[in-house]
Amino acid sequence: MNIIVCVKQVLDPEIPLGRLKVDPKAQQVVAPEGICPIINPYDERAVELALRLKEKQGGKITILSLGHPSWVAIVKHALSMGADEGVLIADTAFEGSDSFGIAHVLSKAIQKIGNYHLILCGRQSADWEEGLVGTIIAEKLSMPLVTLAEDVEVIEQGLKVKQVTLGGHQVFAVPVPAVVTVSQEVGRPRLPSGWGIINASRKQVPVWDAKSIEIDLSQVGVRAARRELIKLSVPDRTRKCEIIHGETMAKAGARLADRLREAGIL
Amino acid sequence: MDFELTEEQRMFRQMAREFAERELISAGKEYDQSGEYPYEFFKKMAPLGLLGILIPQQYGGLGLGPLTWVLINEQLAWGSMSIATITQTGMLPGSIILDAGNEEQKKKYLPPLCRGEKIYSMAAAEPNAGSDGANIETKAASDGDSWVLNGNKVFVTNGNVADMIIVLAQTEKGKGGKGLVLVAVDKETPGIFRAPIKGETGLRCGDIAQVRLTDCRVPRENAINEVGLGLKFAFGGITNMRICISSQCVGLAQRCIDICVKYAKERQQFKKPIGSFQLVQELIAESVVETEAARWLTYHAAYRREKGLSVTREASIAKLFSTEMAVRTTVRAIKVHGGYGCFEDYTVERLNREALITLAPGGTSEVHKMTIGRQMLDIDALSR
Amino acid sequence: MVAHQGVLVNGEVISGRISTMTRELLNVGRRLSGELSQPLSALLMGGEQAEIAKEVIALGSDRVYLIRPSSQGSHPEIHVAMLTELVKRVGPSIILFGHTDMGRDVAPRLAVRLGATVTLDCTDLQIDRETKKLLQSKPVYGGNAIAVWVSKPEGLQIVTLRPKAVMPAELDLSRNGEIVEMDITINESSMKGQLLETARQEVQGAKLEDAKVVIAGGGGIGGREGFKMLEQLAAVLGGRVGVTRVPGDEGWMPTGLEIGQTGRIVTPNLYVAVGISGASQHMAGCSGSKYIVSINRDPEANIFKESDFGIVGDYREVLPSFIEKCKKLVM
Repeated sequence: MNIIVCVKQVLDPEIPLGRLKVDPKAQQVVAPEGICPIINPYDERAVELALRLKEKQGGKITILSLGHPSWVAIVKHALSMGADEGVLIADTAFEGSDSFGIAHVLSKAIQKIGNYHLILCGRQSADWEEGLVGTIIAEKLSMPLVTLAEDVEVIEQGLKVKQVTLGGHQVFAVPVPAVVTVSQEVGRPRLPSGWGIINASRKQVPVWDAKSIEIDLSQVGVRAARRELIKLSVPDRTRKCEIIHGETMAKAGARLADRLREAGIL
Repeated sequence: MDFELTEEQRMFRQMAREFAERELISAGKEYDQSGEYPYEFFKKMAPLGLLGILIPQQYGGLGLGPLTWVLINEQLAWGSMSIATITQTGMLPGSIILDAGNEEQKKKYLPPLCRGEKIYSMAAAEPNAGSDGANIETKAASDGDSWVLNGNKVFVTNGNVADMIIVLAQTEKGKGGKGLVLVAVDKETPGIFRAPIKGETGLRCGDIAQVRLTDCRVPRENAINEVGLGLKFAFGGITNMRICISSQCVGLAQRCIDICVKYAKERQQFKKPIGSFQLVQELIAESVVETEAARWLTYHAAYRREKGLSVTREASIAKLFSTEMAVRTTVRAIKVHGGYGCFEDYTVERLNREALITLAPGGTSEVHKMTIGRQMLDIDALSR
Repeated sequence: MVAHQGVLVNGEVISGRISTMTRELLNVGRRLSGELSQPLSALLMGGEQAEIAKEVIALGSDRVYLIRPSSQGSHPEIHVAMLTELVKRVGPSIILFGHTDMGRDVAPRLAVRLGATVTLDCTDLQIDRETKKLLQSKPVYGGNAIAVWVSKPEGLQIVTLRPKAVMPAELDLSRNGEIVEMDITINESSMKGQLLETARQEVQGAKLEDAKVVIAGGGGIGGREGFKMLEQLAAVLGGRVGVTRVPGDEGWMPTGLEIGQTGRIVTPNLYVAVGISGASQHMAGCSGSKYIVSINRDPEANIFKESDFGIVGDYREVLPSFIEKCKKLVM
């Protein structure tokens, strides 16, 4: 079963709060110095899911990323985990694209790669949190879609996908080829092995530009974006914390209970 | 001079760091407290290739050079010095077999090492021959198609758990280095007796043995290479270990710094974080400078080793400096923690114990200083 | 095609009652439609909804569209097909969904189908006074920042609203409105895929979202064992235990108890955060709590910036006496 996994690079969402600065004029979030960007954690879990399927079913995993040439590092990371090939798409014409523009480019690239049974994407990105690209790709390529998958099983008629819901889960059956977006419940992604890293570092990751995928430029870039970001700001923190002290931790614990009673909370 | 890491090196460093964060940070404390040997880490590290980093892929390893090994070790030791030491120490007998062994020996011993199925050890030091390495007294007597070994060895790391121990022995008394031979002794061989040496302050979950050989008969083909080359190959392995210990000390020192930075921001006295006191800042700054220096000394030594350049001097300097600075850094870290620093609950207490035990193996600081002195002055202070 | 006019709320019915989320949507919808001077309508899918439709009118809707359910149940594709058809006939300018299982799956598909703009998980919606466009605010970068989006082209704007971001609408039984039954048939044979199974997690008593007291544990708990103390506290205070992502990832507790941006959103009266650092992604799930109390060893932890009360210390030393005192006080 051949799988294409779409990945993107983000700033590490685990960066301690307050270290991410918002530049309201440039409408950008700025990372502190020395902090390396990482693969979108949800996309990394999509790679993990693809690897599990490959272990059971065989087939080829292709990593696809639309971004900046420096993003080759995250493609290589996915390769080192065990994916077979990677493709990076980069072109200044794509800058400022919204989810629709991004999905348009990815769909074209997917068609160019061809020969796939399953497209996997993370459920959303840890930066803009849009959660749209996977869905739009499915619509553009007229493929069945299941979102927020925790597990995928290959069955005779196609795939059985377990979807996470707020109340439990749902199970869908879909024919292939299909698009599935992946949720964090898939579980922790594996560490690359040393041999994986060696193999990945030897691989070439081709970079495709707009021309090589025959993109209709009117559908991408800032001008094609359907929404505009008019404000980016840091949320207000309104609470003021009262720290409860005590000669011992045990005394502090008891005092906390008293204080909550005083405040009418208990 | 290109000081940048390659893409592959960066990926290895990243993977080792991730492994350290996921597995070693908590395990390091647990195993130090329990004193149990960390067998599970052989199983965890083998599939990642971390037990055979220097061993060529055809024998089951990764076939990487010392520089990448050092990058990995630094991160592993950052997670847990003890577990890093215990799992990487197999590289000493491993590289001896690799450099000196014949094809049959390589095929026999190396793959199980890489797979974590077997643990090997190297027995060189003796009660009367520690720093005075060439004057060991363990005898290897040639007898037909066997070697017969007699002698006492101490400070054999992984000696009790080892499936095979490479013993450094003397074939002809008085011949010094030219008479030395390295012999592989399987654990089941009659005549080998091992006992744990307990009570080491750091590496509490480690295994240190004293080994007594009494008419221990091993097949002739168990000799790793020829007589007379024993010291040379033992030395090659020891050079690797010196570079390895250096990198582990860098990792341990970095961990100290990271802990102190966090603590100095958290701990308040006189209504301020202690990090706002100049002298606390000095403690941290000094550690940063020394760690950085040790790091580059280590990388340089590893680089030279990788390029096949002479590295005796650089390995000596790196080992001497890194181990001593690790001890100083852990003491500074304890000072940053004030009264709490000496209590087991605080990681820096353990890091200090782990740093102390790096001073002796691979040559004491004093030996290294005299080695460097001899090189510079052409006067040998060691053997007078 | 009717010109874009009016705000449409996608209503959801749970166990025969209009969901709290829908009430929240009607509250926002009423405000938005008022500012636009356009009607507010709602749609309900499912048979026998006449009574509920009346309630929806009382909650603020001018018109309620009733759509008969299809035999396939709640497959998102069916909703999308039905809604596509409805929108073509009704022509709203704004559609409001709750960011529920159904909303987050259907809204994007619908937007693509209809060529609309879409923003998911909004925490605030306003009408720009001049342009009359919808200002769509949502947390980004794990909640470290708030982004405000505006749709560029004229046309349909679809959004999902985060649960508990606003108060639910109040009943006004004096309100009048229209109930319209819509006859919409779709071609189910073109559906790609089937819903095989819907499973609900077994939850004893109140669900996490409805709990008045939530005791949450994070990475600082250290293991499954530690949660026993939290369960004790929850029992004493009549609350429920939740987790951050770490205990779920590590397998200490079920992932279904995860509170956070991509987990559950809770708004209890009292939220006790134990061994939780307070990363934005988690705070997104609990910042609506009335009172937040935190216990953490790290005085620098972000959680203290988001709490009303806190103790800097090891929960193992703090909780036993806290639990004892609470027992006495709630007697």
